[in-house]
Amino acid sequence: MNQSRRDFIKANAIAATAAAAGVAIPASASNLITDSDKSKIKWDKAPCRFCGTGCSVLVGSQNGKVVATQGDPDAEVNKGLNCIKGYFLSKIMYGKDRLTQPLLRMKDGKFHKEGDFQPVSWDMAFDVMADKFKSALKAKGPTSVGMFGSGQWTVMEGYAAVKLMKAGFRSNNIDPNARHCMASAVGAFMRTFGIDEPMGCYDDLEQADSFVLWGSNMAEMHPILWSRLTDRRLGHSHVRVHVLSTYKHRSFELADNGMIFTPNTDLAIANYIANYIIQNDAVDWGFVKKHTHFKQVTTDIGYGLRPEHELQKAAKNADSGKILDVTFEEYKKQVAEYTLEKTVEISGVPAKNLEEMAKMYADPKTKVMSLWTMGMNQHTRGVWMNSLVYNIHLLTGKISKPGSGPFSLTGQPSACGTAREVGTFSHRLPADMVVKKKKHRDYAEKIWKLPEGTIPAKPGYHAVLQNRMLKDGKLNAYWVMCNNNVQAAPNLNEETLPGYRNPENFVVVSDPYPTVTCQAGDLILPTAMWVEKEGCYGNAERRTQHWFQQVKAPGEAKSDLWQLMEFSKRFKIEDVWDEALLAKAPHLRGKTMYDVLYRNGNVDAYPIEEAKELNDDAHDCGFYVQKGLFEEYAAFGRDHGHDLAPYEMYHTARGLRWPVVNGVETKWRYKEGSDPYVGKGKDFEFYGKPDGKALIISAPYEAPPEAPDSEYDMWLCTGRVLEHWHSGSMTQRVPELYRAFPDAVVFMHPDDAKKRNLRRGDEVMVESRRGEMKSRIETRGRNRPPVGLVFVPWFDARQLINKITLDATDPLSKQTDYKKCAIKVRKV
Amino acid sequence: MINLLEEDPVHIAGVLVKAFPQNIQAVAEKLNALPGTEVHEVSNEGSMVVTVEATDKEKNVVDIITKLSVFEGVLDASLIFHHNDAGLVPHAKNNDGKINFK
Amino acid sequence: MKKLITGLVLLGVVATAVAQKDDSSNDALLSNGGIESLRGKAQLSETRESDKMKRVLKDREVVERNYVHQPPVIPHQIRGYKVDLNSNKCLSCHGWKYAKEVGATKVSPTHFETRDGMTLSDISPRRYFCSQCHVPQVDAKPLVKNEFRAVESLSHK
Repeated sequence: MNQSRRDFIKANAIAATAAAAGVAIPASASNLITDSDKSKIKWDKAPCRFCGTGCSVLVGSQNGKVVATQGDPDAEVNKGLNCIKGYFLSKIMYGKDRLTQPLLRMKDGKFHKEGDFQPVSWDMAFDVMADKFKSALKAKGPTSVGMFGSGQWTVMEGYAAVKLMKAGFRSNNIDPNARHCMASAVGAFMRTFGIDEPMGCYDDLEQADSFVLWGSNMAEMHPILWSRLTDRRLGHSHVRVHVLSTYKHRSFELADNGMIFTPNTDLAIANYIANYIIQNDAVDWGFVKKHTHFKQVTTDIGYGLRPEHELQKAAKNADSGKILDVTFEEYKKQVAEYTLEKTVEISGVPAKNLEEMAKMYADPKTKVMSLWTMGMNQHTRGVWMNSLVYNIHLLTGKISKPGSGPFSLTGQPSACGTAREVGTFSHRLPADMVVKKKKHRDYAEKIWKLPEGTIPAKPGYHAVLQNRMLKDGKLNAYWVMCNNNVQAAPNLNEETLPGYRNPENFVVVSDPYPTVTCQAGDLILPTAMWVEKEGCYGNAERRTQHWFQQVKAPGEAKSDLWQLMEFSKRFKIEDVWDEALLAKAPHLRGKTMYDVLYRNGNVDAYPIEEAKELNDDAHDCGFYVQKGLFEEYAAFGRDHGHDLAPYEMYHTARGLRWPVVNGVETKWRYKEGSDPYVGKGKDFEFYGKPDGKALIISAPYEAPPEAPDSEYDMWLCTGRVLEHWHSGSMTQRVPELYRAFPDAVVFMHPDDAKKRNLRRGDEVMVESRRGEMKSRIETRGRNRPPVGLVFVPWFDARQLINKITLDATDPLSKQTDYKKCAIKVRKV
Repeated sequence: MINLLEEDPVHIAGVLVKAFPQNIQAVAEKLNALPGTEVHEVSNEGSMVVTVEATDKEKNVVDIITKLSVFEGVLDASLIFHHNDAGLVPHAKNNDGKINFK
Repeated sequence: MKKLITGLVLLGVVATAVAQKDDSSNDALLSNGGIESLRGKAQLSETRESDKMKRVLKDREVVERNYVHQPPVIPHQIRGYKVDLNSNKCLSCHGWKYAKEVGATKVSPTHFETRDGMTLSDISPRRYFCSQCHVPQVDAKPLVKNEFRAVESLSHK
């Protein structure tokens, strides 16, 4: 039976009017919808579960299941639009293979590393898990336990995890998958401005005159922001779009100036632009003199490989992040090396295109927004590269102004909110504090009501190091939560898999679905996702967005928050703290870790009556746990440039951009008039730095760790596609998205294919020095690489491109470079 | 199946109409007879749930609502819900699909 | 559930045997524990055969939707369709002026709205790149069944 749109709208009209009249839904509407109760959809808002854009969606649920989703017309971010993934959110929770009970590898009714997975109770799961954590702690101390978390955790979950690891277990071995994604951006923000995250906001998209995409494919990775950018470009004829990449992709469709550069030479290009600005007397001296200092990096810093690697041994200043003072004249001399001719030669970009972009940056009348994501962050010189782009904006004073500024886009829904702001990194604490600084540890311990010296001072193992330490048998009890790191981490064959399957280790994996990480684990915990719990995310423009629980999780699946807190009940504080620390807080003796961390008068401050009836986490705790965690966490940032609004405000607003001072959000930071933290008469103030001045940090071009040679003769670049998000564990289970992009392919130039006697659709072996993978050749798809480079998406669990990638990282940010390594491709 | 794309533009309003409880049934019947107007529910307290649709004759829904509010026996008519996708001029475009955004 | 797992275990053993390269004790340690991921039964250490490239479905009837605001999928091939700064191939059929003539689905009226809710006389530029929301479909069975159910009034039974 067809129901016309007219009938549907009429039914809505009747329902709305009936509600206003206070009468029951009229019976006469029954010819439209057979049973009015059944047709009633309950609508509520939630941020999208995927990328860092942070679109708001309206989620419709009925009889305990999500039945529809649509773009939220009231949300500033997306104004009713979604991308194809967002429109299919309603299906992500309903893959038939949802995990509904804990699974443990067993033989003869007991845990066995070589056993097969069997269903067990939560009780037994936690018993075995607690036993493994306790024996690791006993044998090797706190550094033998660790956790790999997520930029997809809710803020509360990330915060609870930081407390559990850093204060409970007293181990800094907690790092988020955001390390793979945003760490270089964080590193450069901290070095340049002393405070993390972009100064501008998405409103810049409607005001800029020019856009530069530095190695970002926004058209596929941030489609809604791309639609705002498209709106601006097509609606205003003077607007120009410059796109830089190592291969041609969909963002080139809108490009006025598209540029393909040789991998790693973005370093030279950025320096050339700085040189052009100086040579053409386009420096904004008023701004530069008042608000900046000149510095230079320490060079030859290695590639974050294992210390015994040849390249590490050869590096003169391995891992050095030291920056030195320079004068403007010295800086000028350093960038003067990057003449147009030399840059053309290094990068392969035609002079005309480079000059066009440089001229635009140098023109004081052109408002310009620089945008980037993984191209610049997943880079062995990622922190340098981020700084080089800041240099351009600082030299020209094009920063913190509507329509002008450098803008680092984010890959995950809460990479900013949970990973960066909460500080779920191995070296961080909430609100940009770090474990190295005693003052910061003291501050955290005071808020947490814990004795001085609880938090260890030494940074823990970061993402790539965690896998190395698992392999080396130094990290033995390990919890992977809300991510799929066996698929995501580099060098699967040599590091990840040997690490997870090391007989000395016990690996716990919490996930809604059986991922490849689950397959490599020892205990699998079934996890509630997205609107099956209450939470909040923080997007790339500092916007914090909350949602209520809207449906129940299937079977025995439980949220990450519940899992973290429930697990903490398994430990007496004596199990995790030494006598010296206990002696400082005798009143905590005999309590559980749960009591010490979460029943501290802060987290449990808000009664259950304040929570919604449908809030499983709160009802399991007996208090409004999400609000308690959020408010305790917010204490770190209030009055410190990271102010968050009161909890309830977020449930009504479509998110607010911090700092939120006196109920007002901040759109442009560091600028007088729009940022309440900037002192009167200062015009600009980069208050993350003691003297309020940002740093222009000079850094040269340096070669990547691995480049094509005669045997491994091609570049490999990995990344995402529009239809799939990250490892595909959610989107590959949505039939429409699967059918839109079913399998990963090797995007290759037709000449390269011909040379190898390959035709579109042929099966190929992709090989590096580390591993191999079979895939199919695509020569006509949406990505058009130049000769000598292939692009392979990483969403496909059936192919696993990370068997091939190199675990080289930026030595400063510890972020992996997934964008370049040397491979060969041959016909199978 | 609902197909948003293959139908004519829709213009529908949900209107809450008040009348004295004692003669509300009679008023409802008269309203129902008006073109484009449908009464869906009548409460004992004097409220009616009414939908108004644009017709060929009466293209402006607002005019119909205005008529309702001065209809004999009606005390008040308030617009609660309004949906309109009319007023969309089919766009002009060259055969090659080029469009000029102003 | 137990039955399922036992079944998977058996299949896992077979896959292991096929993929065998190293000694068997290492295999047991590296085994996927008998559970299936999107990778199916293949062991993580195995170099899995790649799936055949799939055919895009072409010229089918309009595909039904699951909820009102779901963007319809594209029931035809779009290879070689150019959408860029200068032209938009999709609109040369789906634009209102041509849709009837060529028998194509008209672009939804929602697409005429700007970010500020103003209605334009043409498609809003923010909706210009059609493939951000509309995608063609290949001829393939889903990897995993999805148990999502549309509301009754919309279910296509």
